[in-house]
Amino acid sequence: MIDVRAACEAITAQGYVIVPNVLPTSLVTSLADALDALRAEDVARYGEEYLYRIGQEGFVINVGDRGEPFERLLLERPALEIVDTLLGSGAFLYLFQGVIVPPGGGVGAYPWKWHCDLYHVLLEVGDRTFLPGLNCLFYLDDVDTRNGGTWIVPATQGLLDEEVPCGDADFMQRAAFQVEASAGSAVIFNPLLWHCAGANTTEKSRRAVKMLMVREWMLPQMDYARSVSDEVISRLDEESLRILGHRSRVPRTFAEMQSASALGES
Amino acid sequence: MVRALLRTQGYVACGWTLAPECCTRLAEEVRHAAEAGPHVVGPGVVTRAIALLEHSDSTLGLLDEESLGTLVDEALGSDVILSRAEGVITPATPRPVWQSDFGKPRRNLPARFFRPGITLWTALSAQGGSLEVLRASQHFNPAGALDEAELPAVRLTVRQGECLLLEGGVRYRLLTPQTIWLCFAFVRPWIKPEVLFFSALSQNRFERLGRRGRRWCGAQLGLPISVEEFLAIEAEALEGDFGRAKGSGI
Repeated sequence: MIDVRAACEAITAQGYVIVPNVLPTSLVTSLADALDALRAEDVARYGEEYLYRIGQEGFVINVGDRGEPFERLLLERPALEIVDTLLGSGAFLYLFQGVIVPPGGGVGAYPWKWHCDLYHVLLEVGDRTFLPGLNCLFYLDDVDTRNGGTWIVPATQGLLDEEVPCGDADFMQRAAFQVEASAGSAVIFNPLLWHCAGANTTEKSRRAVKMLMVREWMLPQMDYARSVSDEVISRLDEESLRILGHRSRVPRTFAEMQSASALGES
Repeated sequence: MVRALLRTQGYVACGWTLAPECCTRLAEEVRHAAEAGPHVVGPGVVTRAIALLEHSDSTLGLLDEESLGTLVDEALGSDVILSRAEGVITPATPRPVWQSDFGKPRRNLPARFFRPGITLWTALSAQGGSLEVLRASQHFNPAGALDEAELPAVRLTVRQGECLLLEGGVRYRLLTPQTIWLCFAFVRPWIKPEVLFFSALSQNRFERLGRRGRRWCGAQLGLPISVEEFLAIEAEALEGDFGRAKGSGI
């Protein structure tokens, strides 16, 4: 049972919260197996060199359309109450992908680096208190300092890159910490918090599923409402469809715009 | 000056004008677009010819006009996309209704920090048109208890060809009957527009646009619907600069 109020307070104050054991073991196993299979499929299809070169090695794209375990994650949506409390009930997916840090990957290796998500929003808005979204990272493996536990610099949400000396080892040693959590746990954080995947010094990949949710009036990075097949959509409930952005998608034709207006969805 | 006035009072009559013959031509194209459709009924029972860019060569040509580009740059900046590009026809019996644009982002962000978008209203009818603006109302949360009667209302007359700029979030209403307006709304590229013009426009219409027109139609947004598209966009982003964070990973 998640203490939603405490979680929201933590996210507001320090930028993140770690929520243990939010996913049942069976789902964790299914998701992990699915990610491994999908990564192998992508490597076979696009080539490992190509994926590495464009910085997409280890990222499994559009998982919502790629297997029953991800549909189940949409249907179970363990973090949604926190998301809705902080972002409003229209929040939806900006990014929904698998993240695999292979042996040797993580901070210090391309393409991983210190960053905050939605940085362009921060630059335009200029208000540190504004919460554009929430990053929900569900770990599918036990994570710690050895296998790429996520590095976080607490309370840096809303700071510009020149204000967070990620290259200063002394500062980072004092300010940053690395998430340690069991498989099935989640770290939920303000995307404007400075973070990075840790270095994976083990022989096994570190797997996670990322669901970056944003406010209903923001454009997603991928049009999930249209990237998920009708077959999958038929199996999802209303709330899952909302999370995918199905009900709030931006019209791609003028006819759609007319229909949306008639339905009051514009 | 334009930005300052938009920030403080919420509107400004700008120097961008269209010649009478251009207005006449545009007005005719708006009528045609409304008939050809699709169209939408807007606040105050106005007819919104939402596919104007698909039907009107004159409107399409305006997107790459230097003077309009300069105006938008000055008012909001160069990194913007079109949210609306339409003709609006008010009914014979006006039913003015208060409305505002970009209300959803405005609810989450106070105006002193952030300006989500602007709307340009150009009167095309020979007699011009009027609208009423609640001065500085963009600073009030539209979801809150805003009593329109308590704010100073300014009636603005817009002569044929003249343009009025409205700040996103300001309350306004169209007053005059049977008036044809040209309406452009611009918004930040990470905020949802009312339609994705790069997708809605037919290929041959889109290809007639120049660099700015294409950018305003959101050609650079990406918004993939498949893995292949997503990867192609990431590959292209590494070579160009589309302003998105790259190389991130958790």
